[in-house]
Amino acid sequence: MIDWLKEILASQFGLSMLVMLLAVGGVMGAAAWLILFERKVAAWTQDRYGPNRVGPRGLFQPIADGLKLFLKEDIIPGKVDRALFIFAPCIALIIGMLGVAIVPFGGVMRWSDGGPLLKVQVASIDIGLLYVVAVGSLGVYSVVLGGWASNNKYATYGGMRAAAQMLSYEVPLGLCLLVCILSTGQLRLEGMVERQIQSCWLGILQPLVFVLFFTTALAEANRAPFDLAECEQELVGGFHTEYSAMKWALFFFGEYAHMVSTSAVMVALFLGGWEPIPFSLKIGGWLESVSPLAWLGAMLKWITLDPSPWAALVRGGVYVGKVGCLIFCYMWVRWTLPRFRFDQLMRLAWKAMVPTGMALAVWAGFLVYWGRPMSAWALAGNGILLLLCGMISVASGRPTTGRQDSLPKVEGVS
Amino acid sequence: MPTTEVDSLHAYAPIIVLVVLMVVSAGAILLLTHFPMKWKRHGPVKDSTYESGMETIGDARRRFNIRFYLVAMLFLLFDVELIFMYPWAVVFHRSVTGSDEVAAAAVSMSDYSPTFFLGEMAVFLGILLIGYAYAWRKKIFMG
Repeated sequence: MIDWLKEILASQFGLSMLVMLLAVGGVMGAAAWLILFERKVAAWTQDRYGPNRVGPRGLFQPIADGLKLFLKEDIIPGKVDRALFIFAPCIALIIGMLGVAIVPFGGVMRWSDGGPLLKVQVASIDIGLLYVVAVGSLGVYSVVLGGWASNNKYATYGGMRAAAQMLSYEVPLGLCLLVCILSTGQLRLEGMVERQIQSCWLGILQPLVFVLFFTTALAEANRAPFDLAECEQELVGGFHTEYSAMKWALFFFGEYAHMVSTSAVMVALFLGGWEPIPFSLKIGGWLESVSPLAWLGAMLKWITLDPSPWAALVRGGVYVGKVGCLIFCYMWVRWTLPRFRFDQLMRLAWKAMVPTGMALAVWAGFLVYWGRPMSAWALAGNGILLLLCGMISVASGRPTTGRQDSLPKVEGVS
Repeated sequence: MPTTEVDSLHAYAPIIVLVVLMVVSAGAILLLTHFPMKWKRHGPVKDSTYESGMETIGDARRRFNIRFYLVAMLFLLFDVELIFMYPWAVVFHRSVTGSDEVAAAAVSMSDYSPTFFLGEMAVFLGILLIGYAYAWRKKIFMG
């Protein structure tokens, strides 16, 4: 029995299965506790306690919530399209989880010296990032189908808005990915991480691309300030107005799973994946020459490169830690920024982010042409572009739209 | 890190397992919460559509603003072009850096110079930009 298990685990497929079980279980469990974490972050932002009744410091709140959602009556209103109404939350859950499949959690490892090198990730496919884009854009179906199947005006409009929003932000997202591919010349995520370990994190070289990508990731996940699809003041619950009990909860599982998987991709693209700190090889080499800190340098190198299972485990821990930090940023943004109006949202995507993303991609293309895609020139280009964007936005003033156009002009007020 | 194995469909096997696992678990969650241990009551009011307590007027499948449709069309234009650019980016990168571990795959591309690749994409992007400028003038981007 033990031998048989060992044999399976020694193959790439076996390790993939192990990583998959850990990832799926981890994300499913994390989604429940992330909701508690989100409420705690909200409480922290608004200077109050947050949930603190169920268990120590409210730690068992997700269990109580889950039990309630499980037992609640599941209402399916009379006028809905039943098949699609039931199907939509399932898509949300499935699509949200598919993104973790190509995340390189821990680089390469081998069980014993001389054994084959195995990749600590579910699947290492040659189209890598293309898979991320393909799976990510399927997410829009759950919201649109849910909204449309509800046969409720709020839900329908929420679904339409979500479709327009997610489609619009897909374009700058794609442009950011193009910059990453041009910089590293790779489609595989683990290849990108290795390039970043050799030279520098892309988040440092291309900070503007990182910010753009983070913003589009917020919009793709339908998170505030881009949560117009479920804008309470205008649309009650938006696309999930008619949903209740576990079907409603599946939408939220999907949202949090989506958050986790996009954060994981972001870590691989911009934050050097499993590398504990930027330039850890150089810093490690330098520290090794400083006698009292030699152990620290050796440890940095060990974590980044060593193929032993323990190092891979530490790398996985580093990776998950970075993902956690990004998720905290998601929540921080949500409780800090007010929501956009819908026309502002569309303008931001098409008139600001698409041109910026294109300029960045063109710059990255020229850098490749000159043979230095991951040099300080990338950073310089980012800085100049940021300056230009600022100047243009100051010069163009505030746009007036819709009803504002037909308002009477008032003296002295621009 | 060398990726010597020619990628076959074997690499996708774990993804298929993941899809099956997720479909089964989603189905299981729905079945568990949909059928057993619940009594259900129906009534004309309870089953009605919730629109803030107002009586529903007509159906929700109505006409919607044409801009949603235009945005979807624009998205198609842009996204299909972007998908073309990803393979281009990889090949372009290899045509410049040359001695890559996967250079063997790009050998047939070595007939072309990096300048050719860049120029090609400039033309491609130029055509895209014309459409983009037209859409901007037509005020599709909400003002």
